[in-house]
Amino acid sequence: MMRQSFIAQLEELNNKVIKMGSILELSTNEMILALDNTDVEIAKKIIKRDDEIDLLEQHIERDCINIIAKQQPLATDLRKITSIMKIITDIERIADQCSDISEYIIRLSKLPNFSAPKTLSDMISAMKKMVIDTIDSFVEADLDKASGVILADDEVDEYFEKITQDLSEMMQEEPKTVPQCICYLMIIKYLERMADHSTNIAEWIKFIITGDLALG
Amino acid sequence: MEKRKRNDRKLKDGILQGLIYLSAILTVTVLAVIIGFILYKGLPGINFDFLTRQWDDRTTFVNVERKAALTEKNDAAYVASLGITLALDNENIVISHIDKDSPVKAALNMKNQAYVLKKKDIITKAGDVKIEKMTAEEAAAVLNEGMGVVRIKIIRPGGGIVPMLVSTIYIILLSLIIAAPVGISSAIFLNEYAKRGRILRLIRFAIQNLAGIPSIIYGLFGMLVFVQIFKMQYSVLAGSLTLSIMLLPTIISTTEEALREIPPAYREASFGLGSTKLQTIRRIILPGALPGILVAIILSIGRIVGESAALIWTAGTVAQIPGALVGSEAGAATLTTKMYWLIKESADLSTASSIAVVLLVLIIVLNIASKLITRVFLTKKGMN
Amino acid sequence: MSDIIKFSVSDLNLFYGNFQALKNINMKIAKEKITAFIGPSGCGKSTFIKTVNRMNDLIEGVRITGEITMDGVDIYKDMDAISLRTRVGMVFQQPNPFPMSIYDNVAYGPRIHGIRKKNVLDEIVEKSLRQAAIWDEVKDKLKKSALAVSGGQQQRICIARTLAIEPEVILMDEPTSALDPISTLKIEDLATELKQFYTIIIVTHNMQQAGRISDKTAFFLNGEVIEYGETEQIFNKPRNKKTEDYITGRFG
Repeated sequence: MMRQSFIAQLEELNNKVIKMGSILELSTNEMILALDNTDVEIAKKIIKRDDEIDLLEQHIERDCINIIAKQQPLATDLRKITSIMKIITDIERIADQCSDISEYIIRLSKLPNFSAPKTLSDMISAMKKMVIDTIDSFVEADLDKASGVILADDEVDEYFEKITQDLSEMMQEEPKTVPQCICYLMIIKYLERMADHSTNIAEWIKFIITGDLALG
Repeated sequence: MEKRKRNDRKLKDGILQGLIYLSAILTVTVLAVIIGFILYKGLPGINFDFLTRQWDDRTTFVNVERKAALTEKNDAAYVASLGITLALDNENIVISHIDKDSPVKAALNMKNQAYVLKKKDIITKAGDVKIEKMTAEEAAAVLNEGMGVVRIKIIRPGGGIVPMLVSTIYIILLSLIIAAPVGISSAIFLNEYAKRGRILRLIRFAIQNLAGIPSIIYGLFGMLVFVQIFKMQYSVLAGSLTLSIMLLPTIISTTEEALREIPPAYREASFGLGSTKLQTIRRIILPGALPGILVAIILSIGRIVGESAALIWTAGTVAQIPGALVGSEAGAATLTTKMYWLIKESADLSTASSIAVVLLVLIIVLNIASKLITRVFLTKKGMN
Repeated sequence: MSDIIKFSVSDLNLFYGNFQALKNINMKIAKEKITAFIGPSGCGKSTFIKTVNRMNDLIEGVRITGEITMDGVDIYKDMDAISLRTRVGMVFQQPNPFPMSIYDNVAYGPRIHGIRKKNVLDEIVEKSLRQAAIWDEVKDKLKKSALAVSGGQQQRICIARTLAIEPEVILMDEPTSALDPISTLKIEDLATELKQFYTIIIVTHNMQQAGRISDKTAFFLNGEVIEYGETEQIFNKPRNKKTEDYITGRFG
């Protein structure tokens, strides 16, 4: 085995990304829990945890730049490192959106009770599956799983359209609930964005594995 | 116009090429003629006796204890009491056969030292009877007469080159023992120790010029300094010292060449491992330069073998195996000096040519040896 | 985590006759790290590395002022060159094994330092070749000529030969410039392996190599140290414009 120190550095980098992914997974799960129960404590925890992810992103970015500067990665190594630099941005964005949603959970907790549209839980579970599959496909370098994530994005988009429609009707029927509905409108937008970022990540994972850039 | 130019050039080229071929053919022809002439003149004179005998005839008186006739032979030329058979050769009575148990093998000279008689020894006198101009049978009869000790006068014929061969070898060994260590050490000093500069350049210049001085001048110097001032007389040591001085420039420059060919990287590596200059020279540089040094030595042997002018006035022209390093017993003619002497003193062209053949063979053998050594070392150094 | 200083260079100047090859060098070299010297040809990096084991002493007309200390001892005033060179080994640009067997090459150093016992030598030879990551490739041909193996193997034999004198420091003067990429990477791996036990100073034309293996990098230009610092810093954010120009290939 040659270039052992380089290989060790790559390994370490990979582990950091996986760690970042698992933190994101935790935040996503907790965010869903907090949304279900309008749990302010958990929401606050998620917002706080966002700093941790930001810090990790900076570390990984710096590592990538150092490896590029010092080790001249090529082929798979080059794809992996450049993709990781993109992937961590998307992970960080998803984490941001978790904390954004948490902000709205806190806001919702101060408003009168409101029962969210039924399809919201379907959208949440679709989005959750996408996030988790994305992280898994990175860890396992699983091309099929990554492709599945990309396909699933349309489903989430459809849910988004559907719930937007539902919320709009609710607001017309019962103007009292407008503040809650706006909160949920924001939340589903964030959920839709989370799915978009997962799709981005899945595209980069496909690039790592196949070397083909998705164009257009 | 263009065409004429081209034709001109072709013509010029042709003439030049012709001249070059002609020169080459001329050289080869001359060489072939010389060697052919030497072989033609010299080869007939070369035989076993020529290579194994002393140069001069030697007359000796020996005492032989006669025995009771043990074997009888039906041969009138057989001397039963001495166990030898006689024959007539060039009007001389010659021993043609010696029995295994013959008492002549225990013959003693006048100093009571063993002097074993050999085949082809000439018998001229037995007791008081001169046996010249007799037939073999008559001589045998004379020798068979009487009992007890008989004094025989023996002439052992010369005409061989053994003394010169031995002298040549002595001078080669002595010269090299003196010149090689001095020359190699000097080369090491010049190449490894001496500071680059004007003095070094001067020394190198001097050495190069010394190599070009005619050998007769070395001979003159040797005669004045070694033979006369140091009172060595014409001797093997005086000759060897003179030759050593003559050889030094060649040995030094050839060794220096060999030293210079050792890649500086080896020296660097050795110093880098913390070895001293002496260790580096002994373990890296000398082994690397050894083939070059050996070639220098073989070239030197060639020069010694071929040298005459420097030796005539220092080692003399006496054909004898030197009995001492200096003094009257130490004169030693080499093959080449003897050749020169032969032509000058007796105009004996055919014997000189025979010696020349021996020299030719020697030189060829030396050249082959030097080529072999270089090749063996080169392959050893390289990939194997 | 602060580094232990192995060498401390202060106000070092070196002249070849009237030509000043090194100008006022000040540098601290860390123990058990890899320090790389980069710079264009003739910038003085090779000259400088040779002052560290006093190989420049062998060149006529070299004059040195200033001070280099190793573990606080002045290597020019208070140490002789021979014992310095047993503590500071050197590997050269061209693989230069001696024209003798692999075994004799590695045993050369120990032998000149007086080790004669066969079993002790055997042990040193094996250990050094193992450390140089070449044992498995040559263990069956120790008696064969060291010139009969590939260039990369020759260079590792040369490294083993240096390790055999048990130095504290290994100087490498462009050790891979004559080697193919695979051999180069092997030597680089070896260097990163060896830095656990040895202080390594490497001169290289190949900036990427400096990047790959070194902890600290010094950029030389016209006999001066333009910039010296952590390799990451030099490669990511050089402070000096000249360093930037050199490592980005916009030089000259």
